[in-house]
Order: sequence, then C-alpha cells, then structure tokens
Amino acid sequence: MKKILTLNLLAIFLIMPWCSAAHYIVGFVENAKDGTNADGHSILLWNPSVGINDNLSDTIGPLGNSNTNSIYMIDCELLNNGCAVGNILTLKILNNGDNYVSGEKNVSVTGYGYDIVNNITLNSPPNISSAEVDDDLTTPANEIDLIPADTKEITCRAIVTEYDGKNSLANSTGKFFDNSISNYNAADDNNMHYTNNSCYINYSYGNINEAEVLCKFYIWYYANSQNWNCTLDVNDNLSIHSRKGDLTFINPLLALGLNSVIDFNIVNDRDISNESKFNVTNYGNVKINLSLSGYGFRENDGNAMNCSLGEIKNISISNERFNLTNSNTGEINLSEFGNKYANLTSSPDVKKFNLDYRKNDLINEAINLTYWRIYVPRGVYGDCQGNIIFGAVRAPGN
Amino acid sequence: MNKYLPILILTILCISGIILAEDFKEGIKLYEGKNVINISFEFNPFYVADLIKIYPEITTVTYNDSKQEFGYVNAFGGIGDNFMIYPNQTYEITTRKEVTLNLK
Repeated sequence: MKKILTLNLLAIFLIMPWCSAAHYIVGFVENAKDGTNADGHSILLWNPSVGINDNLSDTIGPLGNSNTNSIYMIDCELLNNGCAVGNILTLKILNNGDNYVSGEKNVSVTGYGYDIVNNITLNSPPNISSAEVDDDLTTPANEIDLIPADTKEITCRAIVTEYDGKNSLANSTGKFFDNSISNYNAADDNNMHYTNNSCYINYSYGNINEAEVLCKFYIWYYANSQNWNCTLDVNDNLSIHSRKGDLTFINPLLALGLNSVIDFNIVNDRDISNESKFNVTNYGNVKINLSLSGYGFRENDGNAMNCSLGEIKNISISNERFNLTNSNTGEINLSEFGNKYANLTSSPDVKKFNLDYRKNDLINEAINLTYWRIYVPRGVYGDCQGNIIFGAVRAPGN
Repeated sequence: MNKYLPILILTILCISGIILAEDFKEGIKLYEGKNVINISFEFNPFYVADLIKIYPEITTVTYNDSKQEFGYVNAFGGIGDNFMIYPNQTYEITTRKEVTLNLK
C-alpha cells in the first residue's frame, strides 16, 4: 500500500502542470487607418472582475506568441488567477510611446482550447496638420496689438486629421504663453500664460477625417511684449493627443490712463495753489516715462491757462509746475515752488517716470502719483482752464 | 489511510485524462475537450502543424517542458509554435469532437 501511495504522489508531481490546462485567447489586429502596422505593438489581457494588475501581454505579430502577422495569442490560464469557462476577459493595445493604442475588447471564455476575439483596430492618433495664431488684424502677420486697459481676443486655429473619423475627436485645449520666460505647463498669469480648456471643434470643416479647432484667448493689455507660443492639444476618444504650436509677437503697447482733471480749487492772485495729486496709470505693457506739455487755448500759446476775468487773463506756462516723484504738502514760497517743482513747457518734454507695467493680476499696481501746483500772477481772476498733454514714452530697461 | 484519501482522489482525477498509448495500439482516442496524452510507443517525430492538417478537429496542442510553454492553435491557418511531437512526452490536446489518432 505504501508503494502505491508513493507512485501516486510521483504521478501528481509529474502531472500537476497539466492539471491547469492551457486556454488561448487569440485575435487579429487591423493596422491603423493611417497605415501604421499593428505588428510589434503590445496587447494586454486581464480579467476585469479580478483587476488589471493580474495581466498578461503579448507582442502582436511574428515577434509574439502567434509567430504570425497581425495575430496575438495569450494563454489566459497563465493569469495568476487563471481563467475559466464563462469568464469575461478584456484586451487592449498598450501605448508603447508612439500613441498607437486601441479601445478595449471583451471576450468570453468557452471550451475547445481557444477563443477568438473580434478584430481590434489599431487607433490612429489625431494629427494636427497646421496651427496658426493671430488677432483680428491678419496684416501684418504674426503680430498682435493689444488694447489699452482692455483685453484683446486672439484665436489659435488648427486643422486636425483624424483617420478614425472626425467624430472620434473628443476635446481640445489650448495654451498661449510667453515663449521666452514661460512654458506650456506653467501656471496661468496674465503677463505670460493663458489657458483655454474648452476649445471649439468644428466638425463641419473639411472631409470625414478633418476638423477645425478654434481656441480663443482674451489677452490683457499688460501681457509681455515678447514672442508668444500658442499650442493646441487635441484628444481623441481614447485619450490619445496630438499637440502643435505657432509663434507670434505681441507688440509693445504704450498707453496711460489719467484722472479727468487737475483741480487747483480757488487760488488768489499772487498765491501758489495747494498741491494737487494726479494719478497716472500705465495701461500698456512696457515701462514708461512721461512726455509733458501744456497750453491755455491752443497749442504752443505759451500759457498754462486762460481765465475769464482780470487784466491779463492768462497764466504763463512757467507758472504751472509739477513733481513726478515727491509730494511737498503745506504752504510754500516762490523759491520753494521753483526748486521743488519742474515747470511745464509748451513743447513736449520727456521726464523720467519709470512707471512699470502691471504685474499683479488681482490689483492694478501700475499707478503713480504726480504732484502739481500753479502760481496765479497778479491781475488774473475768474475761472481758469488749461490743458496738459500727457504722453507715454518707452523707458529704458524693459 | 483516511488522510491520504483526498490525495488519492486528486491523483486519480489528474491522471484520468492521461491516455497511455500502449493501451490503445489501434490508435489514440481523443475525447471532445481537453486530453492529456503521453505517447509511449516509438514513432517518427513530426510537427504539430502537420498533426493538425491531418486532424483538423484538434483545436490546440500545448507542450510544457517545465521551463516554458509551447502552444499551437488551429486558428487563422495555424498560429503559435510549430513544435515537434516526440514519443514519451506529455501533450495537452483539445479537440472539437472525438477523434482517434493513428500515428503509425
């Protein structure tokens, strides 16, 4: 009896591999519609009820188990949990880095040693054949002119070829960024980086394999004057994406914003007004200095103001003075008036102001105060009005 | 004795599919489904693809040399490893229906 048992145990040892028999899952993979060969790609098999971590793979074609073009062959019994009649197994082609994958296919395990999966087609990734970016002014090309104190709409446009049919395009995103100091993955910042997560896909465009992608951005006036890159990313229904970009240049924008008037209030003749503060805002995208000039009634008339009463009825241009950096409050005498304030001139004179452009998306910090006083000479009365011309001049250093 | 009973039953179950060719000199009878055979008489080795050409009822043939599994599937004109069938080796053969192999 002991001898019989020993023989039986030996038989178990020898035969055990055959107690878990082979069962093959086989199938045909059609080449991608853009012509890419399926052979050499990897296909993964798993039992979804167990989880994808217990999986097997094969190389499609002659380098794989099947030794045959376009065919794969996987023994599902080699899964850690094996496979049994009635199991539903899932297969898909893995992305080996070339973006050619497939959707998932299911197969039911039956008897007779193997099961054939319905044909799988290698998916073609979407291909962006052209991309361009511009504003509403297409001439000159590749230049964008911003709008002072406002946003400018720009459009990135791409033509996408999708050999699996344009309807397999799922969504598109776009990024528009300063190509010199930002990059595709950077965070949004109005100076240098914009994102549109829902670009419009125009399925009516072109033939059955073509679509147009339109991605709009609203660019603030203080976006850097640099080369900018608009990159569009198009995803298909298998989350395979294609990306392409185009460069453009955002032109310098010299612009400033002012309060409506400088009001000196009531000033007696032979008196110097109190200091009036006047805000200057940089509404462009470069650092600015100020070009200043003034006139009473018409340009170059030598006056700062014309008045309604009195013998002279004019205030000379030299009596209106400013300080672009420091405030001097309180009463001052004529000597201090001359020393602490620069006089306005009839012809434009560029003064150093160095007002940088806006860098803060939440608060407009590109504002500087200027300080103004006027001396009313003897014999001038009534209401006085004049004009100050503010000009923005690009300051060195940006 | 009782504690060896499960082992004995398992052993009988596992070897029930083994057909020793010596017992079937007229031919090797394969039943529908999976069969594990060990052909113990001498014959000239042949390729598994040739076996399937003669017996298209066979759907798969698998050989395991304890290091690696070799499989041949009767689909798409025959795919997999076209390995040699030798005497005294164990093979798993799956058939669609009952078939008798005459190897001599």
